[in-house]
Amino acid sequence: MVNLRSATGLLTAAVLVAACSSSSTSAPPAASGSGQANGGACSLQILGPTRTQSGEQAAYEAVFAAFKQEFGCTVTATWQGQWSDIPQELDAARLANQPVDIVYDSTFNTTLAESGSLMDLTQVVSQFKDRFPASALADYTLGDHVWAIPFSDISTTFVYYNKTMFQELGLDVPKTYQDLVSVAEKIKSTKGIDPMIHRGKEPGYWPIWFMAAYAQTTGNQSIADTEDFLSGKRPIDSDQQAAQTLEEISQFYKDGILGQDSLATDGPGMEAAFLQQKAAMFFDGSWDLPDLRNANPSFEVGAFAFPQVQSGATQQSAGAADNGWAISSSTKNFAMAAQFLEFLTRPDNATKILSTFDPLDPSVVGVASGDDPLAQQITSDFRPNTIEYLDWIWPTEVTDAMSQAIPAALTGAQTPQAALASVQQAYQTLVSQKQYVFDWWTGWTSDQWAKVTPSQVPQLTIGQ
Amino acid sequence: MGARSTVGRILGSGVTYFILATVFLVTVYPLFWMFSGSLKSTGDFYGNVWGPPTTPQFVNYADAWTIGSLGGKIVNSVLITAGTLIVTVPLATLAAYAIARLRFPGRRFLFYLFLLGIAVPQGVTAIPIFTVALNLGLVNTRLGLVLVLAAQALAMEIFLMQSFFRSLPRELEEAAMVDGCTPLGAFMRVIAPLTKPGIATQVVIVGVGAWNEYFLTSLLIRSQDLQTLPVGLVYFSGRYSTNYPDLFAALSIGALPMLILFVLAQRQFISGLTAGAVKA
Amino acid sequence: MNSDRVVSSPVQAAAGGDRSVEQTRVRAARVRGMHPGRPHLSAHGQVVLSAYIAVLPALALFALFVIIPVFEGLWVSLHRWDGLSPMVWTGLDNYGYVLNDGIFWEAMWHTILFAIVTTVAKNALGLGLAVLLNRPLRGRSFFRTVAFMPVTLAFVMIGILWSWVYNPIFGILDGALDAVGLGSLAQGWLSDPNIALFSIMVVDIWKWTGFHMVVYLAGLQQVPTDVLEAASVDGASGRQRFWFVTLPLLRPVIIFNVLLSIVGGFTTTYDLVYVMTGGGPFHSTEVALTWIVSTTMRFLNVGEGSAMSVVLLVIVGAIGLVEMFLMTRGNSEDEVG
Repeated sequence: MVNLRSATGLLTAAVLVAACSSSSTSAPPAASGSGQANGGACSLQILGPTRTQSGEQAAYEAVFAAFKQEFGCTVTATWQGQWSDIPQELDAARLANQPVDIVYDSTFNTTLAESGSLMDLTQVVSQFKDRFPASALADYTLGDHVWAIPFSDISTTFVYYNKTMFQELGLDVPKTYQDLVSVAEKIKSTKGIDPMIHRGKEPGYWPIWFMAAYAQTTGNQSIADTEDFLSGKRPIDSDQQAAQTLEEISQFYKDGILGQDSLATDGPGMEAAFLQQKAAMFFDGSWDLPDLRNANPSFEVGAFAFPQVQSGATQQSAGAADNGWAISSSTKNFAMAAQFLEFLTRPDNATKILSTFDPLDPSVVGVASGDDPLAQQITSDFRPNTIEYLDWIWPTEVTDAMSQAIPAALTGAQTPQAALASVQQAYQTLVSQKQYVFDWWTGWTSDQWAKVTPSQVPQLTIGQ
Repeated sequence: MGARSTVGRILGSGVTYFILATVFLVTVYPLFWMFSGSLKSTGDFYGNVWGPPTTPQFVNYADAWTIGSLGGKIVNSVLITAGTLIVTVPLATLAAYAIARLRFPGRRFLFYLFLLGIAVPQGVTAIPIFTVALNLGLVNTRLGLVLVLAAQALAMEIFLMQSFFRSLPRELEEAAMVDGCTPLGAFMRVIAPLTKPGIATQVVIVGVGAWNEYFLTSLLIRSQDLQTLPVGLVYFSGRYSTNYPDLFAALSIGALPMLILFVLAQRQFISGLTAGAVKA
Repeated sequence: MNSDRVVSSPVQAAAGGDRSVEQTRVRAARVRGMHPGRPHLSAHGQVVLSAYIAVLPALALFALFVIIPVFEGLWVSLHRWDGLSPMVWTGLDNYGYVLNDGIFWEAMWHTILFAIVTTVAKNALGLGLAVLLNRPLRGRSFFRTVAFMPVTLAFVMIGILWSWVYNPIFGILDGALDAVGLGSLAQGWLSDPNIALFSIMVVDIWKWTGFHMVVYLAGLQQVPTDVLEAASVDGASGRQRFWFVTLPLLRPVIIFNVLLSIVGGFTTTYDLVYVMTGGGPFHSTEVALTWIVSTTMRFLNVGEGSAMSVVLLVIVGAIGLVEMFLMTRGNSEDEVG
């Protein structure tokens, strides 16, 4: 691909700039820079999104230095752009002959793995897989192949509430939807504020509603049912449980729990409304907590699981280990790159880095949880009932269609059936236009596998 | 009659000042809001949205400066913006002059070619632009970014400048040419001084565009020490949360050079013309 | 600024009231008398040569980073490609998909509506304010400067500012309406699909009106007072003077401003829409550029995204040509088209 595209560019450029076409166009691909394991100058190149936590970059530098000391290999990181920019960044790096051995990344592992950009890590990770909670490793496993190792906080979703206000009004933490309705009515009648607010201006935050409710309407089969939908076995526009899910969600609107205000509110707006006591609850992820603590350390925040909308089902909510480490299939030094991942996830090294953002629920065993009062509730109550984000399974087009369908059904702009029909249509377009297959790993040729499978599995030095 | 017109005048100027007060409010308040946001604590930012900071946190500026390593980025931004202007403004002005004023074969074709250039949606040609820059060895260089940004601005500038040139009376350069000037000499001596409002407009539009450019810069610049200010702003936005007070401090620092450019350009709009008239 | 009336500009030059133009004319007449009949051919050759010298550098740069990428985009549009795996030739398939993409055409319509409404509003308001400020007022030059401010602000800041102005819970707009007893006018400014696009237009108009005002002001200050005085002596009312004297003299400035705002409406809407609504709710504020970027960068459907860009290019190009034709019609000898 790179060659084809360079060639196109070169051809067209040559028309007008024959005189300028310099030797740089014929530079050898990728090789320069990634050293050999036994050569004098071993080096590993990392590509990842900009590190924003104070002290995080320095912590990485310290770990790189320690790695060099132990394995004699220099590690250099390019922290560039935001997390969603990584596929582009990787593409640009490859075009620019900038070698990349290791990628720090997130949900896009699905995209990157499918495009053949990542090495299959199954066999090397088996040498140290007990360092990760099984569920976290599963987030980066597709079709029994491990594509990355989790290295971040494990996020989960729940309802935040204003504890002080609940106490003042003598409200109990709601368990069922009916409980929530009465709580909301009390809040509205005494305070005259929105009982609940959502960052609905950002479409990407609507699917968590679907995930939580669908988990219950399907009798906790939402992951399997979603995989069936994506394999074409269970069209979502004729999925009774999906329609019922949207009905349940729109009930929040009809009952005045969630209003149209939420469609115009973004993340900071949601937090501002909550902190200003102009909304009593919001449903979002554990990632909001540091912001809330930072903005007002004395604000009493409580948490409860998404309410029971379907009796008999377990209240599950969505979450995942947000980021992971993968090895680029363009690496010339797989063994050393794999060794680096092992080194990085040694508890003391992982602690150095992950502790810079005080994780509530770290994805590496042996790293201590942060000391937030809610950390305990999150790890013991919510984590066991956390299922993988459906938008890690849905292709982007389906995620986006769903992100539009949910608020449309919520506000009555569309019926649940019409909303789901648009999701099904997005799926069908994808199948016909991009030849989408859900389980792409089953259809790969041996050549495709050869490109991403290490020629020999390195024996890693497993440290403490 | 006299009484009526006095009342009318008072009423009229009341309305005028009311309108001006509104203009003042909607243009100056946002700036004030940015500066006051940059001095707030996080809690203040969310809790006291519209008012001034309760206790000014000047430390935000120091934090922003170190977290974003703004020093080097400002230097890069200034170099890129100035470089873009230095390349693109003379090129566009000259080309526009030729297209608007000189009769030569291919003139009409070139006019429409540049006109169509305006319709090219920039973001989506980014990858091909990257390929061309790569083939010329210009990726990850300031020069490469300057040339790319200059090229993107050309079409619009030429469009604007030629409409300016066409409004000038022909006698001007005819006179100069009869006086023994070449067409380009006539351009330099007689026309150029009259184009200051057009050039000031170009400088403002292209300058602000280059100063705030994010997308092409993030693709073409691959190393941290060449990054510009807008690209550096990602240091304040994590995946899920943004440090708004620090971000606003960085934005305030970044806005200053633009405000200076504006004040200078606005002088050109009005008073710079006078100088041109006196010299000619 | 006492020199306001002596400045030269396209407008004033056209009106013949500029001292320097007069001087040049006098000089030209004198020179003409001294050297009657210069050799015509060589002058023409000189003109052509100068023209090519003047155009060539711009053309080279333009070809390199605008034209070549467009052709490469055209090439990509004939393939299925995710930007990462190899390209697969699919002929015109992508164009078929674009034709059937309802959201794209809806976005196209929003783009056109956006360009028209904002162009009219920016120019009407800009000219109105300029007329207001063209009168001797205290603090006039201060206002000229502050009117520029919104243009300098970064989009990330504009996004959060206006989202919060429109915020239904603590927004300053609904708060202000409440304060003057118009609370019933409060709307879901960004959440109502019928209103959201217009709310974004307001922000765009806010950002650019001051800028256009300053350009108009520069034009107005160069309308020669003696012409206006003459019209006044002839019994023209203030309104008549504006419509029949000032406005025709402002024509070049108007063309300039209208072009600028139309082009802006088509090609620079991405950042603003992205920070305000991201195209929602329900695609009601989706413009062509946001949808193209989603298709290319989010869905990694680079082939179809390129096909959309080509379609957009053709449509905007056509509109641009028509607009050029209409605006410059009657511009006698300098007509390019």
